[in-house]
Amino acid sequence: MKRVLALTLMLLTGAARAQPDADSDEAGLAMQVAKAEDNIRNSAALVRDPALNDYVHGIVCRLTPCAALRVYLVGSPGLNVFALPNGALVVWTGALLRAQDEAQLAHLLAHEIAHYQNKDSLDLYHRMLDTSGVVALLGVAAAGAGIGFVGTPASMAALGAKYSHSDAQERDADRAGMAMAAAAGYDPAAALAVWRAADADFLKVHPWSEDRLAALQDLAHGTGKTGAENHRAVTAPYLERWVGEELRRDIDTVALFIRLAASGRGLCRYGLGEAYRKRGAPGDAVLAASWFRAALAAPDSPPLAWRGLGLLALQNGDKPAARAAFAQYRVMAPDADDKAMIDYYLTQL
Amino acid sequence: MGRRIIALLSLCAPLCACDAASPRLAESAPIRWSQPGKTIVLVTPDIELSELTAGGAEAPRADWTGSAIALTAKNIAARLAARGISVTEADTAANARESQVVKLNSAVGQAILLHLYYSPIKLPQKGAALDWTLGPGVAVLRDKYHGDYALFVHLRDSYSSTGRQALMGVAALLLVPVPGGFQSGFASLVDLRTGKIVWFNRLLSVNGDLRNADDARDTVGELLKGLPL
Repeated sequence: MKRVLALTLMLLTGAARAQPDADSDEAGLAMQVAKAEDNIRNSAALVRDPALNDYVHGIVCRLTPCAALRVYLVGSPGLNVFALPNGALVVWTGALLRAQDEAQLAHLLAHEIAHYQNKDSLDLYHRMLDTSGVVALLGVAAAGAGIGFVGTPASMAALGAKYSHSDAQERDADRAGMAMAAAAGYDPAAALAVWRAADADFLKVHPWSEDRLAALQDLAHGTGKTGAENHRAVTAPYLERWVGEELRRDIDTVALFIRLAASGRGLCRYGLGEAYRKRGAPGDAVLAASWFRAALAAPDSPPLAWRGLGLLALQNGDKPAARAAFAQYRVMAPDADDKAMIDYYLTQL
Repeated sequence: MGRRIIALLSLCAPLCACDAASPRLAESAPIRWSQPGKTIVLVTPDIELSELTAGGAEAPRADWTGSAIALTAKNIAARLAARGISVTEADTAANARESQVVKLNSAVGQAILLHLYYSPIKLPQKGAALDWTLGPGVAVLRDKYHGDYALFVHLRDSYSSTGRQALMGVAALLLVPVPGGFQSGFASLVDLRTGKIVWFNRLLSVNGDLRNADDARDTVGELLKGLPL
């Protein structure tokens, strides 16, 4: 088994170009992984925008020599960053939305790169291959890129619950990730912030514990750059789309948007208002209205908040308020995708 | 080989109510060549061979898969060449739009297998005719490879490991059905002007073998049965 594993490491990590026996499990695994990467590369969900790709790729290359890593940005809500055992690093746009600054994103990437460099993802795949779960996982990996129906963070988490990294692997990746990020000059405290705020689904693959938090705190010495301004500027053009994608997920997103709204960005405040409006628990309508107003008071003052206020008023039967809010939305966003729908509402009011 | 037959019968008794290899032709779309020289775009066959472990898991085999793809493409090209058709081989994996067409063909092919070949879930409006299309998106293949039609092959093939064969042998003595390896898949011919699937054939076999040249030739013969060219 040791020999087999060593052979696999050589093949899949590209650390050495020696080929294993073509009839081995490892060659079959490499074939499947290469296919999964093809699927991701050719997926319609792949984000091809050069500015965003340069941003993420730039961070990866500051963290580690990156010639052997291929970064794929996938347009998907939810938090996910993972490496295939062949050096394909897949980053969901949900991770860019959740990171409050460049340092937080860098820590997430560094942790995952550490798993890859420690061959942890390979170990994970091997356990799956032993139980034929690898096919399911590669299906998920590909589906995360918009293929198939299983690519939800929840299904990823279901697999993660069965095939998570071990506690020891997590601590090693924390240590190596922290070292990488610190060497690149990123603020060590950002690691604590990003892991504390991570989605439960993501933490199933990367088991979180009080001990891990304590160990991470011990590692976080000194200061570094956060890159908050840069992160905001780079992600701003995509924020409306990403917030919309999170809101369309069929889950309660209030907790997520409470975290995001703390940034003060108008679109994130709008997202929190909309999350409350969609949840519709007692008291949520009042909270929704106040967050829509807070969104309009923010510098980016998103027109969508007017739409939210209109829908809230419609739900409350307040026709004059609904009419005023919708009219304002139409003025501020004359080319909105849903303008026909809003015009219909206006004729009914 | 006998063990594989028993295994498949036990596995797919409900599916085998219909015949195993039965090509379908789209009657509304006869073959029309745009020029005297006939060209078919042969898309790299989507084939995967795996070994069925004793526990029933399918372990993909890179060596078998690689040689099966090469043997299949070679045999198809030879058969078409014998009928005076020139073949352009298309490796679509590196191009996002082309590979999307291949994926669409796989999805539509699965739908055809399900609704046209499996009577309990026939679609009421489709009837028994082959009436399916990949749509105008196939133009990316026509423009790049300059062919009249594209031939797609989608095959999954598994072979019982020694351990699996032993288990099947013991299980058979106890009259417990344990399925062995088998081939399943399809080939389709698509009009690159319209996207219409003009010919389709299902392959479902426990005897076929893509691991050696002789058997691969037979499998390709089964696969292209009824090809209207």
